[in-house]
Amino acid sequence: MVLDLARGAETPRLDLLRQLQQNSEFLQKHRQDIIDILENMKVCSFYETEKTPCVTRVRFSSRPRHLQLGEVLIYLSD
Amino acid sequence: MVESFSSLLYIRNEHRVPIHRNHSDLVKFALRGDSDYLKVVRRLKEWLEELTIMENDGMYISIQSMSLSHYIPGDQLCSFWKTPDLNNLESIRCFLKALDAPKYEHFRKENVKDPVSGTLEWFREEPLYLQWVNASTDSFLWIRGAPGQGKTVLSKSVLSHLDNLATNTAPGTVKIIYFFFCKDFENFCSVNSILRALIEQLLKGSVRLCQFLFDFIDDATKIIKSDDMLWEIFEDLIGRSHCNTIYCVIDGIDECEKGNGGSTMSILLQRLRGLSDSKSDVENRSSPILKILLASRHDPSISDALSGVPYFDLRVRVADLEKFVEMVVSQLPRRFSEDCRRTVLELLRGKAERTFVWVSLIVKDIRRIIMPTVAGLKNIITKSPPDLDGLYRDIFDKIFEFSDEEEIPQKLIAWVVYARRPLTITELDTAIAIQLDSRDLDSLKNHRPHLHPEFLVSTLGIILEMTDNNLVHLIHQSARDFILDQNILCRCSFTAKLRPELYIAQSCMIYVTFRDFQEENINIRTSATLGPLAKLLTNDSFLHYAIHNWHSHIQEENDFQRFPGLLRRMIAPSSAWRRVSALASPVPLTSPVSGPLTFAIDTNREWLAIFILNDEIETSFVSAEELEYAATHCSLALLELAFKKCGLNEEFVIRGFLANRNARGNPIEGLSRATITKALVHVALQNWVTGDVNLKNLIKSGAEFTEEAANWIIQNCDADAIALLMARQPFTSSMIPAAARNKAGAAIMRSLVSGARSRIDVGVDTILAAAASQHTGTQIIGVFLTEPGITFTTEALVEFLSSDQFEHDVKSQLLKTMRITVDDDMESKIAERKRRRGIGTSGRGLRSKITMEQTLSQFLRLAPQETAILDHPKTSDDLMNLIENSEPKHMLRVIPFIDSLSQYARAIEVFTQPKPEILSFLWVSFMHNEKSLPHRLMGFN
Repeated sequence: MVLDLARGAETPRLDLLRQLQQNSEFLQKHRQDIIDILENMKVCSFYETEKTPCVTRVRFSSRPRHLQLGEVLIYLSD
Repeated sequence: MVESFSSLLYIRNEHRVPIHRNHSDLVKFALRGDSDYLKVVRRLKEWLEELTIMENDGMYISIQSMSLSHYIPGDQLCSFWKTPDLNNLESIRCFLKALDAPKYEHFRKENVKDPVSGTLEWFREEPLYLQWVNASTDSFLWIRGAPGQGKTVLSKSVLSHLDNLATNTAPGTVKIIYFFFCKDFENFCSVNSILRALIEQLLKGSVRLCQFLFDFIDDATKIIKSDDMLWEIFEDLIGRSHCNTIYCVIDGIDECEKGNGGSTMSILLQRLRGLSDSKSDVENRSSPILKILLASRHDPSISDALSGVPYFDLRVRVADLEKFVEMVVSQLPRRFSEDCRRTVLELLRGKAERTFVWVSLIVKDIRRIIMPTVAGLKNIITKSPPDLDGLYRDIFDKIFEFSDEEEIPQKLIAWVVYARRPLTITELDTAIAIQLDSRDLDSLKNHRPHLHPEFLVSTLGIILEMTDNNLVHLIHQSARDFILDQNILCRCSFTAKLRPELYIAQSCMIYVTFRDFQEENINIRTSATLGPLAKLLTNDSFLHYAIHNWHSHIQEENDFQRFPGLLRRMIAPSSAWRRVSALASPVPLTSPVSGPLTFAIDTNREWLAIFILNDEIETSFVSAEELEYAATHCSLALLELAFKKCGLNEEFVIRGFLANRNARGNPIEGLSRATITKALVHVALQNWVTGDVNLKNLIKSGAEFTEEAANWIIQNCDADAIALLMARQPFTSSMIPAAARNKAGAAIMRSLVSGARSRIDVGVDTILAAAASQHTGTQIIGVFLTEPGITFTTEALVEFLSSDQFEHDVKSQLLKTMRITVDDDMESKIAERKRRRGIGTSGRGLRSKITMEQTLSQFLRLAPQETAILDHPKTSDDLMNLIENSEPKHMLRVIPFIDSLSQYARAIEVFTQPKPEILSFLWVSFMHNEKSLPHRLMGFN
């Protein structure tokens, strides 16, 4: 989807997004670095347990489906 | 949604708190009452509290100083916040608890007034002060001034200024330490207290210094009593601090207990000066810059000690005094009209030469006027004596003028001036009610003045102040000085026959010996019986004060002779003090026995020990254990007294003399006729502090030693002691094997043999002993070969020739020198001896696989930490854990142990060679029962 948005152009922003992708090398390294620093300290982690709404790619169909409360549909034209 | 895997670190010490929200709502809370919000806040609060506790324990720099503006590189941050080893944390807690520093922070906050806004700011621009603050080397500044000029408030203001400066530097680079001396509080007026407080402040925020400390001190949990030891620690901590600059502000050093004719304070001053002098040495360049600021009166003894130090003469500034006057006038009650206020303001402003205290006293005086008029106020202010002493005299004359025979105000002042800590109004009420003939609480009823705050304010408010927690103080140190210098309490009838302080001591004793607190036939050893008394102590804080402090009010040697009857009641077994004497000690007692004599010795109340020994030595009052403790811990003078007055048996006194680690000197006269046994010599050998010196002095004094005792000396002592002994003791052949067992065997043997002047038969014992000593055995045989008049018994010869400890060369040389031929009979005896010992004729013995030296070095490596072992030496598993987890420290205690073991070298070598850990068990029993181990080991030998 990011690539869709960028439409093939290579931008610094795209590079950043790529680095923030799930299980990216950067995030892995970042996580290890912070573990190295925090290893001998006491850490308190507050973490979420519920699903966070996020942008999902849906197939365009001629018959648009009903949107639910809080949902937004973005049309990306060619 | 982010997977829980990616939002958690999965490291140890991680607390995982789920919040039942999604990622974008995680930190968006609509209400303060939101349960998730409360969950987060509660957790953060817990953490903050935990950090504060650690901070108070001296572990971490306070959070406030960790402002975000300070950049700390990650790795430093990591080591800075690193969780310290839990064992160390615990030890540090123990140490800080034992250090028992006075509450200096609380004192600064609560007991020192803040400067009136806008005053004293000029001082920050004073060239001398600027020079002190900005100096790039060690610097010293002395602020001196007469009473009431505002030295203490200035010190507080300087501290605030330094605190401000420190916030602009990187954390950990500047350290500010301080102490306010105050005679009102017992723990704020001694060299000991200031050192404890300064040490605690240095340790705060530095785990590294704490850890260093444990390498330095013998046992963290033991209380450090001596000023010298504390100073040594303080000096070392200063040197090792990683700060760039240490500011040390000490106020009111003139209020420091003089002790020993003023020497204690002078020594402190000299040391403080020496600290900055010695630090200018090249080798100590890495230590921080030390800046000391002292504030005190212009005392001759202080001037002497501080000659050459830059000083600033503090005098009240007119502008400051005006601001102060404005402030106090603005606080006058509403009944003072505008005209009255203006009058007071003008009149007090005109008295520019006055001090803050003078102004405060005048204002306190006029505040008491119920219906003030301009004329009346003018009259009071203009007629008041211009000097502080004159003003005090006026005040006390007025107070005493109206008091009746009960002399309540005088007694009140006496208690406030002399008590070791400020007393509450309730405690004072009880204290004042005590009469010479009071015998129980009931008898106090008719004498209670029923003090209440209004009474204090209306009658003595000008001179006394009350804090929020009802503690009563004098308004200023100068008031106390006036009372003491002018001896104004000596005019009172209640102190007619005593010094005022003895009146306090006497009242305390009378109270403690009240019938209400007595309990007959009580066993002092069991704490269970303290039950009702402990309850009383919590409920009756004056009883607590009296029990803890009665003895501290008796100082001069002859004081106690004034009330022998009371003292007898105090030390009687049924006395409340006697029952809690262990609790009543100002320092935790380490002695295994408790009782008045032990208490007197542990707390250096020699007069009490003398009284007990002179007067009250009865079995019911002082137990045999206590006497033994006393004999081994008191001074020689006391031991002599004990000997002469109490008819102690000589052996007991000699044992005390030899075991006494505090006394070094000549034995008591009259003891020289005593016969010294082996057991007594052994006591001296166990006392590795003074035993050697005392034993030598005992030998010199001409005491007679049994043969066994003499042999024990030859076996264990150094050449000097043996030479002294041999000058008096006739030679016996049993000394030869003893000398062979001595560590310096060959040298001892030579001097012994050359001085013997008689034929010597070397027996089996001697050969065995020589064989057992790894280094000198052959040399001992060498002595026998070169000295004339020596023969070997056949058994000795067999033992020698069969032993694998001697080289073949030595054996053949001996045979040659002594012209001995080994016949068949002897040959078979040698073979038989070897067989019985279980050694083949060819191989070396099992025994020699591990030498004693190796065993000992292995032991040293494994030796458990003394403190740990003493704390939990229960099962072998515990012990093994300790051995594995600790390193050898405190060699001071280990070395004498090794010394005492080395005489049993061979036995231990055989006994312990499969498992050197066994030595550790021996070590434990040694630590627990010093006397029993060597005897037990003797069985192996």
